[in-house]
Amino acid sequence: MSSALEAHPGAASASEAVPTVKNRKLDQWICWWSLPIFYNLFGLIFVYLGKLMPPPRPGLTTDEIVAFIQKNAASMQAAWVLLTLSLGFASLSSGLIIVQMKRMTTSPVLAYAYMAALAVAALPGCLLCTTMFSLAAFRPDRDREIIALLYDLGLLSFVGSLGCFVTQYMVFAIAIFLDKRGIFPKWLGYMSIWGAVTELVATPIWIFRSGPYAWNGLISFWLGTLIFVVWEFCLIVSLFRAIKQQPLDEPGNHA
Amino acid sequence: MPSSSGTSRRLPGDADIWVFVVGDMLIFSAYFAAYLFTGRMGSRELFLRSEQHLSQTSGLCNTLILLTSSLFIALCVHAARLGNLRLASRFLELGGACGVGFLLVKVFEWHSKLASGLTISTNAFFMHYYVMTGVHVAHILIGLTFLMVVRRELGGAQAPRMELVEAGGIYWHMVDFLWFMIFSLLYLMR
Amino acid sequence: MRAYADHPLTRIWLVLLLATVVSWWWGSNDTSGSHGATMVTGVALFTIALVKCRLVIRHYMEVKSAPSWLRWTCDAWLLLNFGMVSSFYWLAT
Repeated sequence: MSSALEAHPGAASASEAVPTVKNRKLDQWICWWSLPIFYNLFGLIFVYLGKLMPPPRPGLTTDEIVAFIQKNAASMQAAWVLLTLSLGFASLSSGLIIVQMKRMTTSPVLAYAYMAALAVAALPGCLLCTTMFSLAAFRPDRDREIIALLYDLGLLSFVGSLGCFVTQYMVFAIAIFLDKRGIFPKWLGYMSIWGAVTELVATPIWIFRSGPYAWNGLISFWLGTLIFVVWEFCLIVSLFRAIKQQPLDEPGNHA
Repeated sequence: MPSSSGTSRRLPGDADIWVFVVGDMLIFSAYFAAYLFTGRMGSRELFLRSEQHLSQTSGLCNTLILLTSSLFIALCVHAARLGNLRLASRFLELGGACGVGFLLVKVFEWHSKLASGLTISTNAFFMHYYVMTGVHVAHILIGLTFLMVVRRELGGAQAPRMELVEAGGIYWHMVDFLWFMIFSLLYLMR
Repeated sequence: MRAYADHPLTRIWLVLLLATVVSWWWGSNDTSGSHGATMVTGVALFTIALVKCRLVIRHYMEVKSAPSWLRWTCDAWLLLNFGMVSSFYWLAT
């Protein structure tokens, strides 16, 4: 009977218990918030506490390096402790970006490639330099040459960790261009290409101890950092919009 | 042909490609500024001596090849707009071939410099030379990739999306005129 | 394809060709004095390059018929570069 059927049309959907609007995407919003928090923390750590952005000029003598670290020992120790604890949060933002990339019409292979590239990049780009600087700051009794080596290792890996980030940027750009759903705007894809090229322009830092292509140089460091900051800002805004515009009843949107 | 009286204004390509192109133009200006600062304010004698090692003929060839490629790409867009897709494809292939020609001349030039022992770390001038021409070559490669995408679009089953064709052309022309400035700054201006 | 031989785009190409050869000839023949080109020559050569850029921007990239914000942005960039070169050349004398 039609009435018997009619008794339960809402039951099927009721059992799925559609909650309020925000709850459905709460997991993504939590991850999204890790971005502005983490990058502000990143700024605090590297610029204010760690004193490594902008980096001191390359070509410092061993004594100068040791003096630099000893002078800033307390704030540096605080910086590296903070970083060691908070570095893991970068994975939240990666997860978020990958979820959004999987919504694209392209194959998820690009999302996985992005994840793999960042996982590899986190090593030299953040973890290695953290470890090196921590060691240098927490072991002042070590041989001076060793401290200088740790400092060099840390800075070179921080500014010079290029290949993985190039991959990350290019994979992201390709995904955006091929995506027919327009999850992210095309101009973000183009900006990612800038990011990739700045990584290329950073390669000379291995060679030059002064000038615009040194690790503290106008181009390799300052222009590179500017482009990165602008890109990151645009990424955070684009992610915000993507989550906002994501339909609640999209398949795969369940927790 | 766009009307020169300017009665109908339209944005060629789309807004996204212009964000890219204008940003890239500004970034290259930063490279030029770094070069000028080093060359004019610091090491003028060094730059003057080092510039003598550059082959102006090679630079001239590169410039002529690239501006010809730009003509072909402009003609390609024009033909595509009129619906003559086969001709547009031919023009694009010619333009791309010129692009490859540019790369060959550039590689030959680099090779001859390296063979004379002039590397990126020889002096400040050569640092700028290799980095600027290197970044420009990276842009040529990106441009060629873009052109291949346009070629695919032109040869597809459906009517080509003109914004894409124009965008590819716009990027290529940018790579061309950035070279004009590099040619002038590095090869001609002493 | 031959129909394009007298096309406005082809005419622009000829101008670019000519400007390139002129600047090359000028740049390679100017070896006056130990300091090479004077400020005037340097800025003049760069101006030729800027004119070539402007031709490509306006005619090949079709900025001539684009909205004014784009035309202004491109011209502003050309002026920026001109200002940069002139300043550096002038400051260095």
